Amino acid sequence: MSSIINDERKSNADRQEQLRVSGLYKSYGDTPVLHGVNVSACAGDVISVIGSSGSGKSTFLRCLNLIETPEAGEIFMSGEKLPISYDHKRGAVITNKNKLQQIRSKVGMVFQDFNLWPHKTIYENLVLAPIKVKGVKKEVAYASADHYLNKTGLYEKKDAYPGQMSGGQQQRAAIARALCMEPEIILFDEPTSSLDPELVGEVLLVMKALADEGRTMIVVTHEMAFAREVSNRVLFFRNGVIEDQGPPSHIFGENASDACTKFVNA
Amino acid sequence: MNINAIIEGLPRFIDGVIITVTYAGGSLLIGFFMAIPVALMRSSRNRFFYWFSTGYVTFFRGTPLLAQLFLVYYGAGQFHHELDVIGLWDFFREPWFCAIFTLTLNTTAYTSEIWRGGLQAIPKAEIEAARACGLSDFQLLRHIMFPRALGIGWPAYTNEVVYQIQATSLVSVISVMDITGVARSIASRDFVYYEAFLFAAALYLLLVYGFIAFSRLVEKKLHRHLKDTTT
Ligand SMILES: Nc1ncnc2c1ncn2[C@@H]1O[C@H](COP(=O)(O)OP(=O)(O)O)[C@@H](O)[C@H]1O
Ligand SMILES: [Mg+2]
Repeated sequence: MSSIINDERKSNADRQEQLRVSGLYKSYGDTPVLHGVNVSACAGDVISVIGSSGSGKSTFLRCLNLIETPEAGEIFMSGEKLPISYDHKRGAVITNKNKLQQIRSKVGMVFQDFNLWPHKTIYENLVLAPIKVKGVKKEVAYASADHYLNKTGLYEKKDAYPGQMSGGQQQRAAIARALCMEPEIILFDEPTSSLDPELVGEVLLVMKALADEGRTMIVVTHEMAFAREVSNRVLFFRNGVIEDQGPPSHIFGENASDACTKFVNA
Repeated sequence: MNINAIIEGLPRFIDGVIITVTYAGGSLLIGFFMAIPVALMRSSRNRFFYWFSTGYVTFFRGTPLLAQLFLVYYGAGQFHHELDVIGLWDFFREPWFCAIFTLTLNTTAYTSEIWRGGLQAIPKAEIEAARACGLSDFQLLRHIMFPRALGIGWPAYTNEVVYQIQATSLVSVISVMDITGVARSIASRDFVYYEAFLFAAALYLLLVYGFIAFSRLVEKKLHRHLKDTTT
């Protein structure tokens, strides 16, 4: 089923560009982490980001909504340039906070450790940003929360606090929180890496359903089955650059770079 | 035991309780909110804000409240003319104003440290998640950071309230008739020191444990997410 969708995606060449990153650089002190990353993604793309630990995957993802500030590079989200400029003296500067907040409201993010707000119920976690950031009416926000809670199978947990749920449930709630903002693109940073093995499946199932709906997703993952079967493009990170990329058939095939082949077969 | 002196003095003691509750409650209420900007300034990268707030907190936490009270009440007298010019002398000549003014500045300093500790204890990831949703700095503080910090700091704040209720007894030395002031006056007039101060102590205990009971209820509400009910 997903392969049919992948084919559709490939054939549909004139889809709208959703993301473009060019010349992204970042270092921590003397340690360079990203050295010129260039990527673009179209609406409906599901891009898996793979690579060994420390290769810069999270840093890359976190630069996309300026949770981390890069040192150089341009990022376009849904055609809008992220409001950052680089100054010799002051370093990276956010030039327009309102604009950044507005762009962030269209970019969902799902973290490895869920990062739900523990003092709020699941319901409150889901409706806060739609109401406060997007100015959605309360009834509408709650209706939308109901919808996505049903979809992630968490409706009966709506009044629970995050601390009262399993890791798998918390991560599904975090995905529902992102969906409630009706994002144009969703970033996932190793969404299953903190979960007990028996809970990984339920989260992957939800993510696969989102991919099947045609949502635009960028997923940092160690789940090779997901990269191979659900995504239509894979980026292989190594030492802060995208060393190889292409459809899963390439990355998991014989023509991938040696390091990439070694990594995916490890 | 001279119970009669206490019974006769009961109406005055009740006035004293009202004064104690008003002074402690008023200074705590104002201090609770004033402490927020002080805590934010203490964490600020702006050097003026940082040094101003740090100097303020260091002074008020590092010196005795009684000395602060004398400094304000008697010290203001030295600046009688200057205060008159800016229209503040009418306030600073009043013991009630100097008492509440000093108590407020004092509790603000302590409370700001509680806020600061609470804000710093919030896991960075929760703040990041809020930023990623597009919350503004103010919304982040209002909806995520303050409620979290309040939950974290509440047990420490309960202690601050208890200390403050007891610390108000110092205002009696600038002739404010709080519980201690009334007790001193009744004690020396009727020579019933033992009875008067024992009764005053009982009143403080009542106030303090009344508040602690209330604080438990608040804590239950603030920490309801920590209840481990696997529904
Ligand atoms: N806040 C930070 N401060 C210093 N070094 C960091 C920080 N975050 C990440 N790094 C370093 O940057 C490199 C890339 O990290 P990261 O992007 O998290 O890699 P990945 O997600 O691929 O495992 C690592 O070497 C890591 O130690
Ligand atoms: Mg990572």
